[in-house]
Amino acid sequence: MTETKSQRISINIAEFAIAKHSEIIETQSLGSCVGVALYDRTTKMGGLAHIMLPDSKKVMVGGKPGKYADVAIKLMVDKLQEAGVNKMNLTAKIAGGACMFSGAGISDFMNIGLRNVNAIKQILSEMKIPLVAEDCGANHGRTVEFNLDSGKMTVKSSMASTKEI
Amino acid sequence: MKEDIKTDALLEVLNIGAGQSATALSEILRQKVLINVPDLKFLPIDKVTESLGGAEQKIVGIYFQINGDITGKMLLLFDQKTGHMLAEILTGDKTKREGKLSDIDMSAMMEMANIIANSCLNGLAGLLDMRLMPSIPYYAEDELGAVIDFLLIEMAIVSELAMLVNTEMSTEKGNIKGSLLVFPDDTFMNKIFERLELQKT
Amino acid sequence: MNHEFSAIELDAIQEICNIASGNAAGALSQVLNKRINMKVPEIKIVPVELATEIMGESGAIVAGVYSRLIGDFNGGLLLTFPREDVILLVDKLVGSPSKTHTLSELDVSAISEVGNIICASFVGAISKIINKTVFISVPKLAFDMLGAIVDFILIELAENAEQALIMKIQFEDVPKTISGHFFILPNPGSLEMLLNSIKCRH
Repeated sequence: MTETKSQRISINIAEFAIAKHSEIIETQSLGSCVGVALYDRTTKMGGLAHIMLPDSKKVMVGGKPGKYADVAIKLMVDKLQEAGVNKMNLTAKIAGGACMFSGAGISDFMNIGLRNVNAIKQILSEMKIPLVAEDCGANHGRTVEFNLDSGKMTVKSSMASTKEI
Repeated sequence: MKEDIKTDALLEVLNIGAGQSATALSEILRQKVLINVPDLKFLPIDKVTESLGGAEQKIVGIYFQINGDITGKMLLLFDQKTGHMLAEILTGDKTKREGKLSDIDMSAMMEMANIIANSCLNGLAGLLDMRLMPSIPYYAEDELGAVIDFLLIEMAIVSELAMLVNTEMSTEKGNIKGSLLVFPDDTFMNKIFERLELQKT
Repeated sequence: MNHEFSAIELDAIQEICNIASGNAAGALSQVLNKRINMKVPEIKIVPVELATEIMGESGAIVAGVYSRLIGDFNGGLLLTFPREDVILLVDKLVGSPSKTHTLSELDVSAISEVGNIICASFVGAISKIINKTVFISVPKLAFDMLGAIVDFILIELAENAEQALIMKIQFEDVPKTISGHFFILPNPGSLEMLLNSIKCRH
């Protein structure tokens, strides 16, 4: 019996990728950033984005499209639709949005992880994409593997145990 | 290119500051401590992670916000192994450290970093003729990418360049290499370059 | 033997306090993005045994931020605010009215940051006068009876410090004026150094 090797696609900070069954999309070092996976279980197609900032409207600087939650998620949905996915079938899983530093602070930067998570939940809700699982917050960095065969997201961390959501 | 600017004046004030930190630490630890700043460079923010060994490098980092006439952010970081060795030197506790440092270790690291951050900003404040002070310290221990992603996010909006300062500390119990990452906001960065240009002649 | 402070020395100390509080108010305003007004309406120099009495009731609950001086000038620093006032101060700093009268992690950070700025401003001013390097330790917060906190500091310092410099500090419009105290406890040798530096300037 031949073993099908899963093709791994790696994305970096502020990037996203779409893929199909037998593929795995992974991204590393999610601190206050959030990994957002979208999945259609009927076609086994989906995408993963490594999102840095909640809102593109607050920033004038141009940059990688995956940087902003609002832009990245919409682009992923568009690309999936182009590839034949019905938007109504999509579900989402998210991981990340940690506060990496011990001791909360009085400045905004301490809350950026939480802000990213809330912004993403808001966008998913507006786009009517159900959020079916999450592993967010806490104080540790995360590495995410999104398996397009199973639709499962494996969340690993140097400082915490592995979770499958 | 801005990155090629002569940094001697900056290195000088940082070394003076390093000397002051070393004196204070020598007193606290009751052993001879020497701190040297051999070199520094300016680099684009998106090259920082690479410069420090990649996103997956496990590090120990102490973060400060820079407050005063100008603002920015600062991170003193060590690779995890070095960080653990430093904790051992600072606390005198030789117990093998597994996983994250204990509260006592973290406290010792933050005290040391507080002295270094203060002397560094004193030096910069003197050079730029401004008032600068660090916030209280914040501690992180994890993969480099996860620790600094928020810095890359916030600072990429306000500046193109970061400053990476190499520091070497030697004590009777061992030598430590660390990096001080300084992310000045645009005004701060311009002031630094202005001052360095003036010093060139 | 307690030093008798001359008029010149007291004036010089008042000047240091004014400069320091001005710097602290500026730094606080910048960090918090809010206009902060800080005044030092009163300065007293008293034997250390009387410190608690001057600052309030020994049994009163206060938030105390304390820090040690490191370097050429040694001693301790303590910033205290009565419990009700600190809750008001934190509400203004953090912006969300606390529903309970306990301090959250965020509140602790906020108060520590304020303490850090005030301590650093005073130490900065002292360091300029004596022309020497002085650092402060990372501020620690205690929320307890005033007497207990002062006792703790005196034990921590272990030296036979004799005299304390105690300032009343006021923040206005918080919404009302809130008052706290800032207490500098120099080691005798350090106090002498400060006075000599003041003398040399005049």
